[in-house]
Amino acid sequence: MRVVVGYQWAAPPKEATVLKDGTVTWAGARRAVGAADRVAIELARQLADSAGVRPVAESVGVRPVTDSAGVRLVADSAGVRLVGVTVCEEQAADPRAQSTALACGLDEAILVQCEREPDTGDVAAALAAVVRDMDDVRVVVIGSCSTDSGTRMVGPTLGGLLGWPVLTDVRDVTVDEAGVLRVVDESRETLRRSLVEGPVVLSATVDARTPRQLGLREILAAGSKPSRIMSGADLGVQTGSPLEALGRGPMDLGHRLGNVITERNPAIAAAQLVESLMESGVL
Amino acid sequence: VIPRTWLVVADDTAIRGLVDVGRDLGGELAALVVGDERLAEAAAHVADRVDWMACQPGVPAEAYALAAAAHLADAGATVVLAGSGPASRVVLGAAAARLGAPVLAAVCEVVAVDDGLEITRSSD
Repeated sequence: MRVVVGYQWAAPPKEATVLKDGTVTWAGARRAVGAADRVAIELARQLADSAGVRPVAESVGVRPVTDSAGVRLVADSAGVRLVGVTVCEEQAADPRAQSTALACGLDEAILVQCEREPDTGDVAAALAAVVRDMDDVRVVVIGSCSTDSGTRMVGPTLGGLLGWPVLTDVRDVTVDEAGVLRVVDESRETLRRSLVEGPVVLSATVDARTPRQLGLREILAAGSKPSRIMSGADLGVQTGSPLEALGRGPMDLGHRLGNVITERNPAIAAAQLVESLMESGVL
Repeated sequence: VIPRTWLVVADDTAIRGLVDVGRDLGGELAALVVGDERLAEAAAHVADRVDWMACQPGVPAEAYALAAAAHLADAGATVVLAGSGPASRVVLGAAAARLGAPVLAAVCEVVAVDDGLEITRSSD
């Protein structure tokens, strides 16, 4: 069984430069594994580890580890592998896109190259193709949102392509002895608990887990883990959006009333806000 | 060509923004409600047609996403508008996959033009 985690290799917002005219440029920006994706990797890592833990007597021949209580357990890496998949344009393909993610906790990394910068649909299609190709994937974990466009739609679209259920805003996931996933997600500002028996796509909240700190040990270990590069064509993915960008520019704020409440007393300010909203017909 | 516009209502009743965007496209504005009666009533006040998929007790709306996507495809939807709530996004993603349509977030305005749709959105 495999757990797949989708991650993005992109420049974080702090690498952007805002020019005097308000335009944003990414020239010279350094790419990294997305912050939300590192959370997703950690969540998936812990899920894979918990699903793969077997008493040592049942898993002879695989690397034993000792837990804090002194009981010998085996991380059955042959049973549950965590595979990371990133999708990016050829120009952005970089060995660090895989080695960094491997250091974050992956067992294997796959980079899918596209001829042009992939959009939400392209990423979802590539991930779906990789998952179908593996044939033994039970869970796909996605970060809460991408670093650049932040549509939060890769997971939902991936679920649609695979025909799998999707749960977003996932804060926790565990697996019980019967292999049933127990998922805790946020919905309408409440926590919801679900049982999932079949394959599923999960998107993690940004605080679902704390990403591990990368040290020399993790970076060196990443060098011995498998990675491979695939092309969209290898996977039968046709990238090519029907969208045509017509232009970019600052938002027209002309339809905004521009009312500013300067009252410092919160109660009075709230009352003024309500009154203003009622006058304008919003409430 | 007037698009066949559907709203997805699956999280909350605050759908005025969606309705405004949908009305700008012209033609009939239909709503697919996935959830409880409260959502269906809210949609009924603003949409020309409401199709309601009531969820079984204890079953999240997300579980109906694939069925909802099939319904939208069967209805010939060409534009699907949804909010940013979790269930709405899941239904929208399933619809995009089913229709083979691109997904755009943070959309402010959609206008039908001769050869397609002109979309304004706030983004990076």
